[in-house]
Amino acid sequence: MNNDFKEVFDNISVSSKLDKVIKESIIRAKAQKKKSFIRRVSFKLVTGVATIAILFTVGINSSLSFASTVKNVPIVSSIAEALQFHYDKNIVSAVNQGDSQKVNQTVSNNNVSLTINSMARDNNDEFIFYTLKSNDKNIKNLLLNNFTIGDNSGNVLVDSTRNRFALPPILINKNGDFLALNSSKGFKCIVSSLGDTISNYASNGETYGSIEIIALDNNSIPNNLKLKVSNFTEAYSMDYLGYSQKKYADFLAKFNRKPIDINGNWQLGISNISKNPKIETYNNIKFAANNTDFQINNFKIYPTHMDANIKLGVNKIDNSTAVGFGRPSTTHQDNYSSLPYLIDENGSKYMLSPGAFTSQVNADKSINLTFQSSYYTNIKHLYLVISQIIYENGKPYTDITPVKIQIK
Amino acid sequence: MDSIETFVKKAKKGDDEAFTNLIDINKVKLYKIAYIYVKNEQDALDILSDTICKAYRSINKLKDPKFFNTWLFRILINTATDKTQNNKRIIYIDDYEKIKSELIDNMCEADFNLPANIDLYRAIDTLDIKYKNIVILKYFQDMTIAQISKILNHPEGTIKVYLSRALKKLKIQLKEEYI
Repeated sequence: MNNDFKEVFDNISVSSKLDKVIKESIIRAKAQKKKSFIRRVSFKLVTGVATIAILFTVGINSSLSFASTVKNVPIVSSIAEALQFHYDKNIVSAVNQGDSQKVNQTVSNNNVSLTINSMARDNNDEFIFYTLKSNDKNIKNLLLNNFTIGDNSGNVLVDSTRNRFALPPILINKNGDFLALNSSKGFKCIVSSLGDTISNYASNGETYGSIEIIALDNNSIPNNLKLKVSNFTEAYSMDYLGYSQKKYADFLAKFNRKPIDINGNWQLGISNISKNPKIETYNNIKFAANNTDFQINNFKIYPTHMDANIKLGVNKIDNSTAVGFGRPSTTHQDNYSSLPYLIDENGSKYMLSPGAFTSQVNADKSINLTFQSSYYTNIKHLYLVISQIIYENGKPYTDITPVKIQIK
Repeated sequence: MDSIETFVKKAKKGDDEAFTNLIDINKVKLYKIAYIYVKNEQDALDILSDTICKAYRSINKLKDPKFFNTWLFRILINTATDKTQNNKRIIYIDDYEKIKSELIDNMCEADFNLPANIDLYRAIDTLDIKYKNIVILKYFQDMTIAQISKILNHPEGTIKVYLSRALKKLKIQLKEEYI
């Protein structure tokens, strides 16, 4: 029977155009190969230039001496200098690797222009990078001061004129001017004008910073946000513990006057166009510390934050119930080391999210912890480090020999 | 007379005449296989033309000259698959792992002899592309399981499983036609 098919095959008549088509195909292939060679050479040239630009940016961000060498190079310098002082290295990696979403929108009013450069986000944590400039030569510094962030329906999610809260531990003694904002709508917000803003402004004529919006509880950040700014200032005047009074005093001493407030109306829409990210999840990781059993029910790595849900146990010796790790709420730097954190194989740490360093025990005796993400950093291993356990009864704030639990 | 391997070596260095010779040696077979997929002259010529272009552009990537024919037919099968399947590529998942229990290892070429009453030339169009490729190479080109495995770059076990499934489908179809 198989021979019948051979026969069918043999009986297929060969097209009279076959030789002509072969000849033409080889000519076409030859032309295509030539074109692709030219394209390849051009691509190599372009990537060569791009690689130099990336090396330059990475160099600036990883080496202080390199950064100071190229301090006077325009455009890149202010961004590079500012990013050096950003409190979230994962976000710095996202920007440096080109993984942030470009926005590049500018609005100007009263001689001040506000540019949204880019953004990086997931549903619970969004970073918006901005640049501020003024044409007024009397202005010595520019800081984002009064603003609201709302959704498309006009609901205000964050209002900077209300509910400022003490600086989270992660920002204390960091180089920059910060605002930490609380919102009754279930959001927190950190505004960071990075680096020595007065001296940056003197040399570059601009301030570079980021706004981090954190959704708490079951909230999520809308895809479309509206930023409305009504006031910029030259220096923050703060009474709260943790904010630098020295910076305000320095401004007065340096310019012999009070900071100028610039009022006006600057509005910009910020839309998320990125696709749903791939999320890494790790489940049911058991560990014991201080005679207490714990289980990480799940650990999720999102682009801009990591969530852990940890089931808390009871101390087997004194029967005290664990209710958390590290002091639940602190602004004191000396307690910083008691908070849980994550560390990778290279020694880089991922701290508790600045917006969520408190946690309450859930009905199922678990707690939720939110950390900075490792998403944009190429790592193989990730460990949770716990050095203090809080118990409901018995001795609170029990310092333990740090426990390192492998997540990844 | 130069052997295929010598032609391939020359073609890799940019000798167009050597490349043309290689295509000439295989042109009828290439055209006929393409024709079985599309059953019309113009589409068969298009498949052949695209195959030649792809082969010309990437012949310098062919590591071992003795596999030129296998490599060329693989390009043809993929081009024909693209043409007939709206650019869907053949993706062989881990079927082989899942169905090891079918004792495929013990099957031999004789197990794949066709029943006498199958009009394969017509029936082949009803087959899923992953079966169609194998059936064309096996029954129209008279290739062995080992040769098909090389061309499609998949384990012999996978080829056997697909072939056995294709035959089952053809037999069912045949029964339905008799009802």
